[in-house]
Amino acid sequence: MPERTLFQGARVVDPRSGHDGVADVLVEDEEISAVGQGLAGGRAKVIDCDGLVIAPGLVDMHAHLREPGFEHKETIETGSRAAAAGGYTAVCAMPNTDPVADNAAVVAEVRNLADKAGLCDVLPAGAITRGLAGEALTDIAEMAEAGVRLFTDDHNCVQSSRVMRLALEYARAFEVVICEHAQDAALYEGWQMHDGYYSSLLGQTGVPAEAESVVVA
Amino acid sequence: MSPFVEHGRLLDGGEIRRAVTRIAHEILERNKGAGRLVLAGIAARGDDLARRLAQEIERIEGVPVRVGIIDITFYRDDIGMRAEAPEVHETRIDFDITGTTVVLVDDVLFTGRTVRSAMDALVDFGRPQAIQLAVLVDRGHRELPIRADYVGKNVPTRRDEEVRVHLTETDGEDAVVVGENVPDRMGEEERTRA
Amino acid sequence: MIKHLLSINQLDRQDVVRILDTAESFREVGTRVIKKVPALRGRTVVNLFYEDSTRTRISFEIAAKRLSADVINFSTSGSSVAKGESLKDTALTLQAMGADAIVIRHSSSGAPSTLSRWVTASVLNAGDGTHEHPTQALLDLFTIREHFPSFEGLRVAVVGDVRHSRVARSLTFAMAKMGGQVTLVGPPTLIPPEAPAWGAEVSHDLDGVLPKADVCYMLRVQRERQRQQFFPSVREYSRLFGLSRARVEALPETALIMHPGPMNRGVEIASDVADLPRAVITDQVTNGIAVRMSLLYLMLGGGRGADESSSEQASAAEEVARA
Repeated sequence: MPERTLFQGARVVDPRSGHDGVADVLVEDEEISAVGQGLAGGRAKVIDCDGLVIAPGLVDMHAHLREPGFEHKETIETGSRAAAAGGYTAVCAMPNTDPVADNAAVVAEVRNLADKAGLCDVLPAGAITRGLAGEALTDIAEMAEAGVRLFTDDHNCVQSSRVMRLALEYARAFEVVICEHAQDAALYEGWQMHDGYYSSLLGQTGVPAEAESVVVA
Repeated sequence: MSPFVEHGRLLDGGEIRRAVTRIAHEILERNKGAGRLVLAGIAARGDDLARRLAQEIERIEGVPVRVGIIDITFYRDDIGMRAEAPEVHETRIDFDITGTTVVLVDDVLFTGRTVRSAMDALVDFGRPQAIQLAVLVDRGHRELPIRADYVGKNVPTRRDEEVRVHLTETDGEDAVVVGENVPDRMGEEERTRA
Repeated sequence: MIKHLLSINQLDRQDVVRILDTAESFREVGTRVIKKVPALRGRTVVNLFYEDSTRTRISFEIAAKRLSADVINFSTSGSSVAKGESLKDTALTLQAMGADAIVIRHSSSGAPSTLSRWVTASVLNAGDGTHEHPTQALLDLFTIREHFPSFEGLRVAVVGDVRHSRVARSLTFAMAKMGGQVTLVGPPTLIPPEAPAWGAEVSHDLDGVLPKADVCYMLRVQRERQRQQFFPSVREYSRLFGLSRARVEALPETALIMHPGPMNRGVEIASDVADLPRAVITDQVTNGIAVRMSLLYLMLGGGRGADESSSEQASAAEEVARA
């Protein structure tokens, strides 16, 4: 006998089909079997969703779960919990942990902790360079085999165009994505706010837009 | 290749056959049997002749005789005098020649330089007790003190003539012809080597 | 025969066959008790090695000596070069001393070509920068020919640091010339994107290429390249592109394993793999002598200074090949 649950009267939002309105959703055996008005549940468990929203799970592409290393700020468990509470079913965890997620062992540990928490999918991002230092490439193939699909040095934006070039070239052989948090370190030094009229008024150190576009060029 | 004009046939197939048989007998007579005998044919055509001699000797005496091939290209005394390095053929002597009587076999004996080169090559393989020389045709015009021990036929020729030996194994027929190259005057040994 | 051997592209198919056929005879010389023939007596061959190389230099030295030529080894430490003498001055000095052939290895791509413009001696490229190593390609062809009747359609996988390999370039050009099919395998950082224009296919998946390869040719990977970040670590490189015992099982039974040497056991090739019978690496070394004898004989066995025109033709051929 399939396990059935009927979610009644929720605001169902689905960008793919363009649906945005109140409806019932019938779930059988962990799959959505029907969406419509006044659905008959039969022996389904009924949940009253008046005032609630049903939508495809949200994905946070850039989250800092801080574990391992900074558990006083956040852990994978607390981060997953917050994510799930906010409707996020998948979160991409940034590699600026301690130790840095620049090898398969740390990546495996993050996945392990995520599985234990069991609240949402955690996709660990791998570092492009060892220790996020911007000099030596990480074992990209090995981390890819461990399930990493996205590589980034995040705030430690890779400064050397040569290293970045090698990373991009090398990664071509594997189906992964290299991401850059575009930020030219030299131009960003001492930054407080965007460079413009207000920074001049307030006497704050401003950072021009070029500090980002230069990296991407 | 400049055209070769034939002046005459010196030996036909039958005469070649009889010469080979006679030489085989002479070799056996002189060396009192096939005991320490080996044959070394000088490529090209000398080796075909050597094999024929070996067959004859075996037929007459009932004893098999070992045959080797020597290519003298690397021992020539005229390397570096022609536009292209001369073509190389196979050398194979896969038995020890030390203490043996080696009969060198060639088709035509002319200036003697080929035989000198062959002896140089031979002594790099070991120390024969004796070296003898058997040729099908001796056409004179020696430039070195070399003489054949066994000769099929002595043929006086003009220096600018060329003697060509055709053997069934390589040329499809047995014949020895004499003629002239018009107008290219390459040494005969080079031509028969080719 | 050409006057200088600077690039494989100067030779046409017939030249290659002639060189390999002649090398057969020289291989026979190597089996004799007295491994010497007087063919190049009186000639002088100079080994001008600006880069350290024991194996290639010795190979050329043995080849020349077996041809009865006189050999002079010019290595660059403790010599006039260390005192700052330019290549040109060194060349003119050797010319004045009557060298008939100069075998040159240099770290700059193109040095042999430049040298050939200054001397009347024959110049043989023993490896220039990351450009070419034509005698290596020829001895590789000779070795392959011992095991396969024809090059036509033969599939060769060249694995490793193609970008910095003169051996890879010469071998690829040589195989293309003889009708074979080369697949270059390695990380994208070590294979120039333009490589397909050399006449080869490219793959980053060694395991996909091995089952169809007749020859698996492993290139040496320098640790220096890891320091330069062309790949993240030796361990990762080895896992992805190293020829392990397990990978050898994936090769067809008749496939050959080759390596130009010296090997980095444990990096590009597992130690036990290097010692398998189908790893014909030591044959390559033996054949190197026969092939180099063949080249010296064919290039010097003709008339001295006979071919002004053919040296022009050789440089013109190089020009065209580069274009």
